[in-house]
Amino acid sequence: MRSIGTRFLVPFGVLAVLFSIFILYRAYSASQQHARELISQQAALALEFNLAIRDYTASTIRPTMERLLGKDGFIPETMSTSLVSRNIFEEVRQKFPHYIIRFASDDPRNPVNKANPDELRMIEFFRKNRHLNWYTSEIQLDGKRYLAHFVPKWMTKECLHCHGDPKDAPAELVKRYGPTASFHRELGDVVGLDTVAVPVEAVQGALASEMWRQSLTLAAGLALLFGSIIVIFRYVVTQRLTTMARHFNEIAAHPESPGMTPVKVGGSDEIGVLAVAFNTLLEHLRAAHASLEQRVSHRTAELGLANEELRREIADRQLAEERLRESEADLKRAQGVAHVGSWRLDVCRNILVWSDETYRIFGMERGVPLTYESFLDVVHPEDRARVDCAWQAAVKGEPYDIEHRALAGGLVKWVHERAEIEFDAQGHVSVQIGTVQDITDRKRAEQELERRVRETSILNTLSQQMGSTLSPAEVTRAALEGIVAAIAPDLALLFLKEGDDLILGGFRSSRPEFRHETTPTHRVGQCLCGMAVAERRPLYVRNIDRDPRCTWEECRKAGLISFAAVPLRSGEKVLGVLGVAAGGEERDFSEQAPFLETLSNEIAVGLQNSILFEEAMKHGLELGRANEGLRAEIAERERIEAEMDRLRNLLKNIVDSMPSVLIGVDAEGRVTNWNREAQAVTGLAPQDAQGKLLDAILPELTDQMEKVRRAIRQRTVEKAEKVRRSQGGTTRFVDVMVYPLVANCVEGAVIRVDDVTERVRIEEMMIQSEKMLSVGGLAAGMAHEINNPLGAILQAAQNIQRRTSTGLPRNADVARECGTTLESLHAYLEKREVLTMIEGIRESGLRASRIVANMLQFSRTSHSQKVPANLSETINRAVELAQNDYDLKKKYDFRRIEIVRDFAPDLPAVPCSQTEIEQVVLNLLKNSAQAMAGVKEGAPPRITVRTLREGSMARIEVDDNGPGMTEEVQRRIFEPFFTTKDVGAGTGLGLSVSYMIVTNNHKGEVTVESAPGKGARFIVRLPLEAPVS
Amino acid sequence: MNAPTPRILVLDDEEAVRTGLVLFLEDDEFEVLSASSAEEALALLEERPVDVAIVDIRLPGMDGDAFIQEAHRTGRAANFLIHTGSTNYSLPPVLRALGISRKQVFRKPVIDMAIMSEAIRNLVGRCERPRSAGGRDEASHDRR
Repeated sequence: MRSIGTRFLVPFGVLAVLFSIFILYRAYSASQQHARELISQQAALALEFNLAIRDYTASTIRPTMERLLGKDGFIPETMSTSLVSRNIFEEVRQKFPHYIIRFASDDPRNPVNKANPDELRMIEFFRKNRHLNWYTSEIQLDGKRYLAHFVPKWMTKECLHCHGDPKDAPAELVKRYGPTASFHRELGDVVGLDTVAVPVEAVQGALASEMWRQSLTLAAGLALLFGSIIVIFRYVVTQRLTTMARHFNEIAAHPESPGMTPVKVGGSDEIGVLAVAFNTLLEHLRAAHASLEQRVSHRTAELGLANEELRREIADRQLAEERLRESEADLKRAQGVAHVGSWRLDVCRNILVWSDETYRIFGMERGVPLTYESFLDVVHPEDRARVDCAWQAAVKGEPYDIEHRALAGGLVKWVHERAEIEFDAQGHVSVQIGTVQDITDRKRAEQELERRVRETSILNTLSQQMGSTLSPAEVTRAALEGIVAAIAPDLALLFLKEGDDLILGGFRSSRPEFRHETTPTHRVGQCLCGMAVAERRPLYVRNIDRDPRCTWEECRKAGLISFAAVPLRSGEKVLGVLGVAAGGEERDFSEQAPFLETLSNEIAVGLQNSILFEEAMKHGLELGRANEGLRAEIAERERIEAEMDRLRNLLKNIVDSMPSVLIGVDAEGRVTNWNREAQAVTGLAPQDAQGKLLDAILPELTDQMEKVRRAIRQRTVEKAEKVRRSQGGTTRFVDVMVYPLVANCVEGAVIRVDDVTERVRIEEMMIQSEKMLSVGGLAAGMAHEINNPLGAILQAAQNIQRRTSTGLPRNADVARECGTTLESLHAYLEKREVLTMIEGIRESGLRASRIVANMLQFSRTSHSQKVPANLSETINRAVELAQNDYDLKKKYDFRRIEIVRDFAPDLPAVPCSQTEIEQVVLNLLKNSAQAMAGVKEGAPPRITVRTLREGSMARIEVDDNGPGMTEEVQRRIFEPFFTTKDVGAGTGLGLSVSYMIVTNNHKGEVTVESAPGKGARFIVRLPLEAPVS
Repeated sequence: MNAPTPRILVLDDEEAVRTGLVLFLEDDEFEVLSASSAEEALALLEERPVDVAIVDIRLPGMDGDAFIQEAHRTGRAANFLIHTGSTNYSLPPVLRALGISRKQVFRKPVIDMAIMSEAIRNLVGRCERPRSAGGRDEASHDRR
């Protein structure tokens, strides 16, 4: 089917295209024509310009030039028409390179103007057609199309001047171009051709492209127009028509459906009108259709409904019947399976209806008419009241849910009943509907379970007790209690097997008349208990009266009937037997055999354990005791070892850190121990000393070896104090202690050697000071008593000397009064040496007073002021004093002694009492002088006085090269009154006083170093800082 | 010599010492009095004031220190020299306060009495004997 669109649009499109092509062609042709004319005009214009230039050259410039140059002159640039025009047009062509403007000749003077074949053809053409002044044609040049204007050049009369006979031509022309070229032309002859060619291509190209652009624009416009038309057409016509058509088709396809909807096409044009008309039509149609449909469906529905109802009714009835039957059967089956019966009690009429199962449960014949009372009859008499009570409550609305016993054909059964009550419209109880469930089995199982649980719990308890109890008595007690708790017998007893005897371990009895203590011992193999042990299996007897094995009358007398004897086995061993008895009714204990036997096993295990435990305990205790002892011993030993190690270390450290030399020796005197101090003192390492004989290593101890031996022999501590030993030239003092080693039968001794040199020295000094102080004290006490008589003596002596002297005038007078002269008296005294004696008295008195004064020094702490003093000056003064000392001069020849001074220049001032130090130095000088006085031979006597600084002390040395002194003398040198001189030579106090001054007053030191024959050196040390007093 | 002879009192309980000093000082042209106890000396001074008193310290009865104070108080002795055998004698402040210096203390035994004599002369030169109303004083003046 061709659509309206196609049928309308195709012819319309074709017509539009054709019309457009025609219009375009027309426009193109007109443009073409117009362009050609324009080009032609251009060419003509150019040509006219060319010709005009030539004419102007030929008619104006050339004659002028000829006039100027003469007949034979010729300048082509001005006179040759061809050249001028060519030059001009060459210029023009600079601007319009596509233009061709040239003059061509078949016989030109300039070869540039030589005609090409086309031009020659044109020349020929013009020669033949003499009437043509110009010619236009299209030519091909170098493949391009040009529109060319050709104008022929005829020979005129003026032309002949140069192109006729060469003789007439200007000489210059001939000379330049030669006599042949372009001469001998005839008048009127076509000699050349002016050509102006304009390229057509450019114009035509522009035209064509313009043409194309126009065509494209037109085509686009056409396409747009066409598209718009299509769209509009489709929207306005096609689409609406299609919608309508589709709608009609749909309606046609489903004539019966209610979907005959009106077509939705808008607009008020013809199509719109058509749609409206259709819709109106449709409306009518639908209304008719609807009414018809309604009637038909109504009827159909009615019929269907009736039919359906009939059918359903039939099915329902069938189903109900079926279900009812099934349900009844199910109920019956279910009741049988569940042991649940049901019942229905019409309360008002007292009619009770039971289900088959209910009849069965209660053990009654089916169909027996029933009432509530007949139900109560089957209830167990003991529960009857309770059931009735519950039922009465239920009628009042309480829930009826009760478990009770029933007597069903002589059997006691347990049932569980539940019921619900229905009320009538007035709210009265009308019907009671209930179930009855046979729970006998459950009840029995529950009771059994309860019993088992109880037994198990008793067993557990017992087992725990067995595990925690380890004494047989406890086990027995626990076992009996367990049995009583579990099975409540009238008698429970337990025998323990010992050899062939069964000893009663314990019993529990509920009957006071039963006293078993009377025969506590049974024999294996006798009576039931003994037999159970012998046979190693439990015996259960329902009635002992009827059993000949029971040989023990007491049980029977006590009224016991049933009996069980269970042996207590542990592995292969039977440990005893458990007896259980009950009186009153017969009782089958074998029913509880598992419990009793398990219990017996537990008891046996407990007993066995307790027996083992007792043994183990006994062993363990012994072992433990032994272990404990061992452990304690080991610990003690370890402790002791550690302690010993520690002690050994400690001891070694102590021994090593002792400032004493400690040497261990064995009985032979060989070194076994050698401490650090020993090494330090001797320079001998312990490993070198080890094993050597002590007196070999320390020869100075040779004298002490006897002491060592004695100490070992007699086990006494031996001691030698202040043993002298020389070390490096100096004398040292040591204390030697020998301690015997008495412990552990070790023969040997420890020798302790202490250097006590310092102590000895200090001791000596102390003694010295002590001595002096005591002397001082004594002196102070008696000085007054001595000084008075001394004063008297000295004064008397002085008076005697004066009164016997000649110097006193009164002496002469008195002599005269006495009848003598002083002179004779004097002579007499002189002769009788009285004067000398008096002088002796005086001197002795003086000495005594000096001694007293010196002695007083020892007691007096100096009050003298200590001021910083230059030691050198002090010493110099002392030397001066010594040199002026009368005694020294006279007795000891002091001037003979060379005094050498050697003073440290940097010694600071020393705080001291200058006079006292002066005295000290003087005393030392005197001492040295006195010591050297006796020596006549040897080196000349010399005393060196030296000062130097020694740490915080100033040191004064007084050296002499005299005879020196022994150590004995050195030790006593500072003692008061100690002197080596003859009695009377000195006071014996000089050095003591010096000592006192230095040590006591100045807190310094005085020492002496000397050896016989080696001179002596006295050393005074004074502190550089004044001691705080 | 135009100056009057200085009068000296020697107070010492030891007769030998006292006599020794008296003799020496008399030889040195001094007028010398002597006493063996302080009390005696004070009595003497009542009669005759002295230029210098040489005083022993340890005395029976009143001791030397007390005597000096008393003598000074009464003004019967112009100057004092102490002559003691005590080794540990030190000048008490009360005597120092009287202007007595350590130079005036001599310790026994005095080896050369000339030194003492010199000291006396120095003291007398410094301070004259106090004036006395006694006739003997005048007489001594007359004697010169």
